[in-house]
Amino acid sequence: MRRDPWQALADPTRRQIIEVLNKAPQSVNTIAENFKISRPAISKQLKILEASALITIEKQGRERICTLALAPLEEVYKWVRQYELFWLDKLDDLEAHLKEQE
Amino acid sequence: MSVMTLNQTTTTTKPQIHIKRVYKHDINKLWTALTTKAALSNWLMQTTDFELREGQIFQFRAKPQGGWDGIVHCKVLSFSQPNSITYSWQANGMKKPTIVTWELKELAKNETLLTLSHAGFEGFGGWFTRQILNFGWKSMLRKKLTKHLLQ
Repeated sequence: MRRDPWQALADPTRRQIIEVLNKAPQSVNTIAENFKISRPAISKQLKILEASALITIEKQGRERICTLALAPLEEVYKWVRQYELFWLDKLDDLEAHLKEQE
Repeated sequence: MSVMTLNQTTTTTKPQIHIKRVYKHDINKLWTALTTKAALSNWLMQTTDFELREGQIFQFRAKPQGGWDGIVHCKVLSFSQPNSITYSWQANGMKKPTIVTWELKELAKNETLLTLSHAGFEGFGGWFTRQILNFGWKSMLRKKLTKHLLQ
């Protein structure tokens, strides 16, 4: 089942992983080196990110390579954009309201 | 005329919405529209408990949509008649209240500059927006948005 990306990103470690992957795709081992927590703990976090479709994990030889997936971020951007559009709409409504008061 | 920017301020890296618009109306008329229950309910959202008083806790209500329960929890933080009013703004999904500020400046008789700022996006929304800005999507998305607005 696909997890909610917002929930997946509520955790600071997972956000840091995303930041690491923002620079370039990395192997699971390389990611683990960036963190003080254990390798299995990192794997667990990666699985959560993968289930939320925020990253993809691909096997390349002996390594497992994690890549950031941008689609869910775009989905969320729509939310931010809608907020801005909400205000722009409301400012039009304000204009209409002022005209009504004339 | 309206100018919109999605700012990433240099000092805090926190994004904010910033919109300027000139209205061909008297500043006092705009002030009334921004600070009375009846007017706000008419053009912004329904409110039954708004009062122009520092510390006043009030709500805006609209039809729930897209994961939003239709309620915005607000508190008047400050105001200076007839030039500015600031209130907190918290909808479900926001970990912390955001801050909405309306500013009015009289440019001439019946010509008022309105500046709307919506800031303080922390945690989720803020982190996300920062990521998007860091990804260099800003210009791309702004183009998309401009296109959308011109439709």
